Amino acid sequence: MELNLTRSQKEIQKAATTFAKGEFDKNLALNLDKEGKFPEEIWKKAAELGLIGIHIDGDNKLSLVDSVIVAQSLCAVDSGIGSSILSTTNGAELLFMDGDENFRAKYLEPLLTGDKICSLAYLESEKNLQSTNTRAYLQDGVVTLSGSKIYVINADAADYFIILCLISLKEEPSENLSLIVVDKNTDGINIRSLGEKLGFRMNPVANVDFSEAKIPAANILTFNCESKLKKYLAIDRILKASVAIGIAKGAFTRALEYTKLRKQFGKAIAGFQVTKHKFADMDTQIQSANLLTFQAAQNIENANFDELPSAQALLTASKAAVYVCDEAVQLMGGYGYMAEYDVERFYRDAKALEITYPSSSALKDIIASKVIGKVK
Amino acid sequence: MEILKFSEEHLAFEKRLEAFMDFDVIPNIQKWEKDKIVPKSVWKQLGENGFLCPNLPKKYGGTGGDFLHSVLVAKQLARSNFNGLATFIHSDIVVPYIESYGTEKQLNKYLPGCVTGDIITAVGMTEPDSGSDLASMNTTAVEDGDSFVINGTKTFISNGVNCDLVILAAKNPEGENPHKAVSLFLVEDGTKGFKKGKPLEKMGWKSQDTSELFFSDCRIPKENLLGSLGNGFKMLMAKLQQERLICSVSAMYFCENMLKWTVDYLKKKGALESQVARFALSEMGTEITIGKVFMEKLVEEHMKKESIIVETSMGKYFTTDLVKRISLRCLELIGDFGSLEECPVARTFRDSRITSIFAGTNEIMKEIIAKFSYS
Repeated sequence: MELNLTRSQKEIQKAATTFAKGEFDKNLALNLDKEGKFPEEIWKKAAELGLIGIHIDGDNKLSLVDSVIVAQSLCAVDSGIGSSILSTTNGAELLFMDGDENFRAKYLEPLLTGDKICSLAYLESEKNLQSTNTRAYLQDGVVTLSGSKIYVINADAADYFIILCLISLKEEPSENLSLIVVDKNTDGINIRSLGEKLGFRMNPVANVDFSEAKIPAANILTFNCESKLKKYLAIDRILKASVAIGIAKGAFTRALEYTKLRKQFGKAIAGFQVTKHKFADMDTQIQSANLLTFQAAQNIENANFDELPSAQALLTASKAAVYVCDEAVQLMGGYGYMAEYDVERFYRDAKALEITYPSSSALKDIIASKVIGKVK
Repeated sequence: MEILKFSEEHLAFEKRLEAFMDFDVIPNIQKWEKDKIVPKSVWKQLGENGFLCPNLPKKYGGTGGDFLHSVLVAKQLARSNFNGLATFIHSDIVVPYIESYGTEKQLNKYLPGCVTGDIITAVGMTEPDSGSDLASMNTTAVEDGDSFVINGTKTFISNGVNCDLVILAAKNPEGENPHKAVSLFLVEDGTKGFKKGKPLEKMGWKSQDTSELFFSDCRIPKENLLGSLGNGFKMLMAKLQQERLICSVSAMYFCENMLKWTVDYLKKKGALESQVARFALSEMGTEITIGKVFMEKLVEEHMKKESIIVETSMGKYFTTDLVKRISLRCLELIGDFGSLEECPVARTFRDSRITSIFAGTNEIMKEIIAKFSYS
């Protein structure tokens, strides 16, 4: 099934797919995954082509559908390379939505040109964002920041972090969540790697500690950011859903190619009834997730930031990705288990996506609160 | 609900094995996983301690134990969350072929070494183009004077790098009925024309040396035929019951182990307040308990030498599917920490994914069940 894409969206899809097929080298992907390294050169090339942060590369309108298309197209060719180069703008939507010209020039532009990497450090507990204890106080034009963030993606590679914290104007603690941009080379930052990962190994994660880090007041991005953060999280869910759909599509294509060629008992495996029905289920799940995701992205382009569609899109997409990859591994038998055939890696990535924040359980909490409303 | 009765001797055996795993295996797992192989010296240590082929009779150097010893080995490997040292492939899958079909000369030549760990064995069935459809294999063995000449490639062979002896399935190219053309041969490492590939890169079982085996005009003496000519298929089919059963045994212990770890982790995090988590654990615990009762019953019947092809196929399908589902679900409950390799369930998830594929895919299990039960 093809969604009704505009001509420019189709062009973006084609450009992203052509780029990925030309640049995402199979052996490179295997090695990067094995060594936990980031595909720096490919990222730079993708940025040159305008594929990085395509939805935040305009004046004021988020063209989120474009990024949905790019993420799907890149991740379908390679889950790891695709998702890792896209992760370099992690949190950048906050710069786009809230940053003035100075912020945009200093912190957003270099992300789009492939010169800098940004990472949003927001989690402190695995459960929710309500437990922010990282605190900062502003005095004489300088913010002093202390606290710890967990599971910070690309912490080592990042040039700057966007930190969720409580900023007080005097030394008294404030309960207002705020965002501040912190250059990584600021004194008082300690990065503790979390080691090898199950999936998305090209994006190492770390815990990041701040101990009395001094930051210019001009780096405060948003005071009282709760509603902005909600909007950001909706966007983030849609981008994650797009990665998941790309992964699912990539695994689907590989399994399909394999089962059409692989003959057992005198017949291509794709010709067995159970195989056919598996592909039917796999494709149906991918298309369902795709529709929800496009719809959710369109809502946001229309400035409707309702949490429900993005949460449902991600829940459906991440489940679809795990399901499709699992079946792809099974359909490809022993080969499916071998790194060389990609799908085991896609499977690990899909599973990692499903269980990390926001987990299915967190998404269901959001969905339930919307569909049930208040219970007396 | 426990069906299997372990004697004092069994429990003492397990205690010794447990200590061995704690001191000589667990601290080295990470290194071996990186090296993609477990050193042969560990096999010798296992052998010295009586942990290899624990049910071989004393006259061949064995300790004269029974299949329950193998069950305990599987249990301890699962407790160690380790599949790299797949000794059950040697002890419970390959060596039994020799024990059942070997000539007295073959028994005396090979079995004592299999017990001491001087001879590590592998079985070569799967080929690049022949997996589930075993009869379509292309590896050939041609009689030539007093030898057989073997040509072909095998793949996904466990213990493929470490093995000193391979039980190889190959067919007579002249044979018209493929099911009657296959024979089994004993091929020793070092035989001219026999080469091993490098360990394959896999999702899991990282330190299990799984590789390709290449045979190019590999000449072996006629006395290395195992069993009778053309009887290979029958022998393979006869031994698959134990192979599949031990997969179920291992899968159930891995399930128990994962659930236990996950419960402890959630407790520590105070996450059992979540009703969703409590229900998930209860559902998994229920499935595991039921699965384990069935597995133990299979072991009991198998030890009575009952033919339980259908039930073993059911067990292999159910338990290996279960271990995968449990791993997926535990990871979901664990959340972010599950995405790090530091989390033991991450490794179990990677490792367990092969079990519904190897030793006969679960699709083949379902065909067997249907063929014998519903046709």
